[in-house]
Amino acid sequence: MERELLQTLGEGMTGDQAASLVTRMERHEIAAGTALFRYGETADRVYYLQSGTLTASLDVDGVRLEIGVVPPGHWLGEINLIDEGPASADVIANDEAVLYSLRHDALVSLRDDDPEIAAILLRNLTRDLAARLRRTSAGLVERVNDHQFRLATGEVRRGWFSRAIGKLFSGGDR
Amino acid sequence: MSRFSELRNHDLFAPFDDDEFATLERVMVERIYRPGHVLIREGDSAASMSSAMYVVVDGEVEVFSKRPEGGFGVSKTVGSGAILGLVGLVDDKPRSATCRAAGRVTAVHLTRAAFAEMYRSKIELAAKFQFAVARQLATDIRSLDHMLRDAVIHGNEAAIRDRFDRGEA
Repeated sequence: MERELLQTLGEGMTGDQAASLVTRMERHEIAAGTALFRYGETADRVYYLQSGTLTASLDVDGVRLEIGVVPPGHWLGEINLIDEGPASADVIANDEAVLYSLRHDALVSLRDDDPEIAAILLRNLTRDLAARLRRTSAGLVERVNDHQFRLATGEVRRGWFSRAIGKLFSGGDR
Repeated sequence: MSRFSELRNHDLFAPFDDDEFATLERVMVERIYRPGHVLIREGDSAASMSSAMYVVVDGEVEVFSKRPEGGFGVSKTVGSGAILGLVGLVDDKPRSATCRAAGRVTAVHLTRAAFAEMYRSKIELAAKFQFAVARQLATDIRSLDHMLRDAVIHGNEAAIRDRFDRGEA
């Protein structure tokens, strides 16, 4: 897990620092079809998907709306790590999945015990969050502008739906 | 007379104890701006060491972005407590909107250079500050996600546009 950390949220850490961070993380193995978390549940951690794939979806008035498939190498739940708020989608394992997680409480302890590691992690994390904020903001403006366009011309721009959905649940770029 | 203490209960500063808050008061610079002063200009680089994020203590600031042909952009007026320029300071990307003093404005700012110095000499404080910044970004993302989701699922773009026009988004 150290190697994966150094290439993602732990970029800039020394090998020792990454190893120390891994000791604060928990390993999970979940079976195919198991929910990692469900929409609206309180979630307090970030996950790194080491192997397997997950599908994120939402129930919209009884219809299952697939948001996307999460491939290995992705982090999910960055916002929950920070604010311990509700999960924003149902996330289910498609096959057996191995994940590592870091809890909010563990990050708070890390910040107090080893602020240098916490500072590097938070620097990378805030960068990801900033990128996501820009994407969401741009997506919203585009969505409303598309709507104005449709009102004005009666036409539907092709591709708006998939673009908007993609922006809804776009994971980090890392 | 510094007015920084008026920000003591601000979300961004609430996590800090009194000693830390006092240190932040020394690190962040307070200034009074004349009406029309541009604090942040859309498209400008945020990567220089003098780039800063601002917290408005008093007064009103207009925030606006260029509108695509026939489209809309951000346009709102914010006041006391508003945080400006945070995203650019985090990701080094060009500024996404212009922030201009609508009247006389008192604001504190933190430059990239000051933050880098905090990171070097007071790592505990820097880590805590980053945590507070992450929390702020998380709150903003949740709010926008919620609106985008509403737009996609319920098709209520008109209501969202109204919120933008009223300066609530």
